[in-house]
Amino acid sequence: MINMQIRLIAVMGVVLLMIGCGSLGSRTTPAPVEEAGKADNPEQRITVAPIPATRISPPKIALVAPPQSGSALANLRLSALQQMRAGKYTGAAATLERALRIAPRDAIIWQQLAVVRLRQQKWRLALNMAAKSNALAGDKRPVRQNNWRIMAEAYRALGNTAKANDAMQRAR
Amino acid sequence: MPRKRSRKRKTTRKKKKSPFLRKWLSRLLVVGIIFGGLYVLYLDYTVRSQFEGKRWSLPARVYARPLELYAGLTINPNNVIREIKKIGFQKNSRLNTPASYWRTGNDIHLVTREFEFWDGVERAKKVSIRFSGNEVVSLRQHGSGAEVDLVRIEPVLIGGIYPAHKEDRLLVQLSDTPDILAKTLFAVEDRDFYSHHGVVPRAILRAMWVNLRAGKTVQGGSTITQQLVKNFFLNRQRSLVRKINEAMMALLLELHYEKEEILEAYINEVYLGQSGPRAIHGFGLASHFYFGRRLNELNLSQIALLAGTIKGPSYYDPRRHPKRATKRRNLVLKLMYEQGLINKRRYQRAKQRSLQLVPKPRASASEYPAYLDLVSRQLRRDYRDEDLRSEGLQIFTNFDPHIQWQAESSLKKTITSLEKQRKLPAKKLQGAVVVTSSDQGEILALVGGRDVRQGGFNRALDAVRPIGSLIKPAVYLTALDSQDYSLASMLDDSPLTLDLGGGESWRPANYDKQYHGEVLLRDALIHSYNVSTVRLGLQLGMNSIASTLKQLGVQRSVHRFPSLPLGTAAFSPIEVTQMYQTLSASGFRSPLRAIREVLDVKGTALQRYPLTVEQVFSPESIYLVNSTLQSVVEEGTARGLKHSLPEGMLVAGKTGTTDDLRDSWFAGFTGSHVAVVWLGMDDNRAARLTGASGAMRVWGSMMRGIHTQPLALIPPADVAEQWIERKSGLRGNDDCEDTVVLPFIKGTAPKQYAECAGGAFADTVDGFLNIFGTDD
Repeated sequence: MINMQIRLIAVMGVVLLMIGCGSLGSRTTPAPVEEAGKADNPEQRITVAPIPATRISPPKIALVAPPQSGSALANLRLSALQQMRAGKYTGAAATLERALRIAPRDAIIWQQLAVVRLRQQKWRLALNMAAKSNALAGDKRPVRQNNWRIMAEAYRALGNTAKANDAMQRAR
Repeated sequence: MPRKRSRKRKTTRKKKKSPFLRKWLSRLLVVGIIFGGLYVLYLDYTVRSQFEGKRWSLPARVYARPLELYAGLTINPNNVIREIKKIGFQKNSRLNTPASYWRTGNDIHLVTREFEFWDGVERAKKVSIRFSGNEVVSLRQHGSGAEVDLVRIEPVLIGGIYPAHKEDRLLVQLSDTPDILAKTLFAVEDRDFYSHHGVVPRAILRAMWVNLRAGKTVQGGSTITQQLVKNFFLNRQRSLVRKINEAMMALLLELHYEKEEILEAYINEVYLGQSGPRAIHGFGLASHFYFGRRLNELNLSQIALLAGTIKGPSYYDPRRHPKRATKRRNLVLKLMYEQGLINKRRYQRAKQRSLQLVPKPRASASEYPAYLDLVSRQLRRDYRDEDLRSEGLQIFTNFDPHIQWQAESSLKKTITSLEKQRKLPAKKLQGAVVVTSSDQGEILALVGGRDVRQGGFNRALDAVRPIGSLIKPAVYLTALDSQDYSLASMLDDSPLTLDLGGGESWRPANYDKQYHGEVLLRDALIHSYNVSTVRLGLQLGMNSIASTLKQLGVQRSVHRFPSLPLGTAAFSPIEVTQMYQTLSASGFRSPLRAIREVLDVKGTALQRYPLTVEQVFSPESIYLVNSTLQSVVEEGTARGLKHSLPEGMLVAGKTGTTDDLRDSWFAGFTGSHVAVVWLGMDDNRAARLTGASGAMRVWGSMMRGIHTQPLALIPPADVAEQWIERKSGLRGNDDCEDTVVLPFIKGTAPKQYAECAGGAFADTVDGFLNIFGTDD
């Protein structure tokens, strides 16, 4: 009997609440932002599987002129490198974009960005970034060679062996 | 008798019915208790669900790019000051408060605030920036003198995307508010805050008594909790029912929540001012609105002023009624002194201070409506409108205030002077400007019309107009990329009549009403010859030109009539900008982006819009087009631009003029920026301006004012230069009268020598030498 009453009260309460909520219209709680759950940590958003060692040999691509601290540009490159080492590729890309705002035609920054994208297995983007670096490299041979290596690796991953081999040839 | 009987009957009936009535009464009582209980339950649910859920609809806040300072940066120190003032920095020679600055000679000293960016917190710093002219030469820690490599200053807030009810607030946590704020609020609004249970009957009775005697409402007996309930849950109407609801909800609120939570909600809820349609709520926003400072940066008299405003934000509006507001503030200070919150010295000093207000911020949602419009359109692709208006998202953009200011003033000044010079109808000439970075496609500035602060028709995005000769680089790129043509190919610029069918024909004409016979392909582009371009277009086919436009990034489909190569297709300024961005970036297309990152209200990253590039043309083909566009400014239709640019500032660009001088266009790029300007009339009447006499002047004046890099084109490895005789398009040398040095993709340069350079004989010698392996 008491249970019944409680249930009755509860049901009526719910009805009243529904009426009440209707009249309070503008204060209703909207749905959360769609992307909210995905990105507690910016790094989690782009989930990058570690590159299996069997498929792709450990990075042959060393960065040309490893950054040294001192200038704003060098320090940004350095922190991007640290982020890369920690597997924080999204952060590394953002840091390199900051560097590009200081020096938008720096072939080496574009190359480092290409390496980040390569590590993220964003092959097409890596290819394009390396090509961009090449377009800006002028006669800097080591930079160009490195770009061809990046492109070779990206082509290989995309299954385009002919282009991968061609790029490897050019890297020599 | 009958009366008596009846009475008797009545009494008997009464007697009889008494248990029945009592039964009903008790049932009624039970039902009453149940409903009363239910009602309390309902109130309780309302209080809890709303207090625990999302309490407020928070507008999205849109920020400019942060200013990054480093040695070697070119920037006008006045612009640095102008920008930091927008964030609320104040002059202070002692540099002992956050967000203060001091300028001495070539140095600007700054105390920055801590700010949370997408990639982490930028700590507060005290730095000295040394300038030499417009260049930052060093950045040092103030005091120690240690070098600092990079300082990122918090970004300027450029607008908000507001909820429908236009309530705006900036949430603060109680722990982030100055202690004196809460104490002041208690002193003024609710002395017994920490001891009551939400309602103080004694205070209500006292208020009633005072009001009754006065015959009107002069005193409120509401506690802070009741005021919160009133603002938070109830409507503004005054009635007894509402009063009862208010009291019950106040009790319930106190039952469930800590005093601190209630106080924090109150600090964020309370209404403190009005800016046009926008209601200023909470102390966090009010402190920006009135003083341009963060809440924890306010001094005693500023806090007293805000606390005093609660009673009547309109009546005590310090901007409209400074005397009234000062009086009120001083009353608050007096209360504080009397209650022992401050000593006499502080009281006296605070009383003496001015109101320290900043000028009233603009009432509209943004000072930069065109850019904000672009941002919200880009956001609407990924977020629901409702979320943008309520979730308190933080949007970080590429907006560059310095470039925006320059674009705005160049457009306004040029339009005004053109109207005067050319006696155009007043206030009719309109315009739009888009500026992006070359290699990244970041949209840095956007002007949507001559009234730059006014929203409405956003011409930069929505004025879809024929682009005239701005299309020509796409036509010539199609030709050069096929490698069937080179810059030295000869084009026919003699009269042309096209049969359009149905007895109609079309005779394209040049702007100078003349025909130029055989011309070099590069000259046809430099001088923007129409007839030869139409012939070239017919040879290439309209489909291939359309496909080039698409590759360059123009999404809109175009018609395929023979007039396409003359730009009878209509695009918006931003679409044209995308096209020229791809050219400026050596054929690497980057989708134009306004937004960098989106964070939620707590600073958690939701989304980043990263830099992407796609190579859509070979750097070689683009190099040929770009070096020709550079010649357009050196010797072609845009040569007038050279005079308005600083010495050595190499740029590439193209003028565009449409039929009857309706549209005046200029699109061009430096080594670091792409900009497109359009001038014309909204009703499509003739603006009587060519690309060079209108839009190009805006472009030049703007580029002169921003810090940009000269365009240094890097010749790709497969490109080599060669002397060409203009008349024949063949190889020339010193002996020829009219020659030009042109770049060629290897294998596409003419092999034959011109008559002046030895003709057939030289060809033979060359062929002979080639046997021995000499190569060009």
